[in-house]
Amino acid sequence: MLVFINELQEHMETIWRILGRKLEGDISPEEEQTLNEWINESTTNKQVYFQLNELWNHKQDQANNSQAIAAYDKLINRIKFAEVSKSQSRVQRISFRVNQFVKYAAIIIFVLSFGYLTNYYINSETTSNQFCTISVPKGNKSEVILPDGSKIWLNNNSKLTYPKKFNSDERIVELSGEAYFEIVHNAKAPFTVQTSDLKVKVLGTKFNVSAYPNDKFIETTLISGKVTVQPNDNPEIENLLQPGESLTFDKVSNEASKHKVDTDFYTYWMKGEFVFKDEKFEVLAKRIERIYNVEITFDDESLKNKTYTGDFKVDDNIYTILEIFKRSTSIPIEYYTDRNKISIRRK
Amino acid sequence: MDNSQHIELLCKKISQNSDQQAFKELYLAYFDRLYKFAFSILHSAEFAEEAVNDVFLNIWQKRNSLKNIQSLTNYLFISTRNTSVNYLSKFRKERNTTLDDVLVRFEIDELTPETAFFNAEVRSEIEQAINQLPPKTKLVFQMAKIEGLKYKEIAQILDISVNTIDNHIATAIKKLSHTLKKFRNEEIDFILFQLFTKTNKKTLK
Repeated sequence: MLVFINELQEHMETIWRILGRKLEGDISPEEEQTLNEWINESTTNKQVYFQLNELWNHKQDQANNSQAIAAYDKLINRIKFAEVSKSQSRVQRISFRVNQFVKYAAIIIFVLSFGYLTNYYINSETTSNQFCTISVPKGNKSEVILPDGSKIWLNNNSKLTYPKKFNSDERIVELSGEAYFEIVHNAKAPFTVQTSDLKVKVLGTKFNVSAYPNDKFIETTLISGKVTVQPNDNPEIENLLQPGESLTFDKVSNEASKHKVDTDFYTYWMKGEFVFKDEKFEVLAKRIERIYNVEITFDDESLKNKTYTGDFKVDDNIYTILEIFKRSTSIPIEYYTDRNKISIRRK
Repeated sequence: MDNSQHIELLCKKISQNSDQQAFKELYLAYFDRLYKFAFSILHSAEFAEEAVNDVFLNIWQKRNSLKNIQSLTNYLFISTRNTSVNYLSKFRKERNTTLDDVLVRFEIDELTPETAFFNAEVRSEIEQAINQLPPKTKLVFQMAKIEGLKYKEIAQILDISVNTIDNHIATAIKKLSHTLKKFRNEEIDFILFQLFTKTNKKTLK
C-alpha cells in the first residue's frame, strides 16, 4: 500500500512537470502520451487541464504606462546629460585653443599700443563676461571649481551659473538648489551667491546654501568665516551669521530666523557621511528626503519623536538605511515604498 | 513571441538611424517586465527604476553594436539582473553577491480581465495560491507565463539549471491544480463534453 502511494506521488510529480512543459510548448511525444492518459483518466483532470491552459494564456492587463513614461523622461535627461558633458569637454578644448591665440594676439596689441589701450581695456573687462551653467540632475552630485579656485559641491537637482571670468571687484554666482561653498579669500572681490529671494555675501569662507525652487524656505548655514545674508527685496537688512549658525528665510512671509545647528549635516554630502546624535526620527526623515530625493510619511505620530544616534554614508542605499532603522528601534516598524514615496508604519 | 520581428525592426532603427522614437517604443515595451524583475531583487522602486535606466542608457550608448546581440529579451533581463545584483553588492559592501544570496520578493499582477471561466472569486483564489508560492517559484512562473520565456532562457537569466526551472514550474502547477480542482465549472464540463463528442464523431467517420 505504501509503495503504491509513493508511486502515485512520483507519478503525479511527473505529471506536474509534463503539464509545465506542455504549457511552455516544449514537450516530447512520449510525454504527450503520458499527459493524454492522465487527462482522460477523469473529468476532474480534464477540468484542471482546461483551466490551466486558460489561465496560462490569460493575458494580464498591462500595468499603467505612466510610470514607464515618467521613468523614460528621467532616462532621456540622463542621456542628454551624458551627451552634454561629452560635448562640453570638447567645447572647452576648442576654447582653450582660441584662448591661446587670443593671448598671443593680446601681447602683440599690448606691446604696440600700451598707453592708448590701458584705459579702454579696463572698461571693457567688466562687460564682456560669458556665463557657464552647471545643472546637476536628480539623484546626482557634482563638484565645481570656479575660475578663482573656489570649490563648490552641487547637490541633487541643483543649478549653478557663474561667469567664465570673474570681475576684479566682485564675484557673483547664481544658485537654484543646494550647494556647499568653500570660497577662496579675496578682500578686494566679495563673493555673492544670488538666489531667487536673497543674496549671501562673503569674503572667503565655508558655507552651505539650500534654495530649491519648490521649498518654502531658503537655508544658509555657515561652517566657518563670515557671511551676510540680504533679502533681494530689502537689501538694507543685513543678517550676519556666525559659524555654526543657520538662517532660515521664509519665501512667503519674507521672515528670517537664525538658529544654532549641528554643522555636520551640512557637509555630509561632500564628506560622504552624516553623523547624528539623539536626533528625532522626524528630523532625520527630512534629511533622508533631501539626500535621497524621496518623500517620507509617518502613519503614526508617535514614531516621529523617537530619537536615534548613528551615522550613514551618502553612498548607502535608501533601502539599507530603512532596514537599519527597522532593526534598531524598540518599536517595531515597517515601511512601504511606492515609487519615491515611503511610508513608515508601526508594525 | 510574435512581436519579435517588430522588436528587431526597432533595434535596426535605433542602431542605424539613432531613432529616438523607436528607442522610446522599445523602452516602453520592456519597462514593466524589467522593472518588476529588478524590484524583486532590490525591493526598492527608486533603485529598480534606476537599474532599468542603467540598462537602457547602456543600450543607447552602445546602439551601434545592437545588432550583435542574439536575443534582446535575454540580454535585457541578464543586464538587469547584473545591474541589480551589483547595486546590492555595492550597498552590502560585499563582493560577488549572486542572485542566490538575494531574497527575491515578488508579487504577481492581479488577474484583471473577467473571463468566462474565472470570476472574481476564482481569480482571487488563484492569485492567493500563486502568491503563496515561494518567491523564486513565483518569479519563474511569472517569467514563463507572462513573458512567454523558454525554460532555457529563464535558466540563463536567473543563472540556475533547467532542471530547477522544471521543479519550480511543477510546484506552481501542482498548487494551481489543487486550487482549480475546487472550482468545478459546469460550463467547462459542457465544452469538454462537446469537444469530446466532436472528436469522437470525427474518429467515427
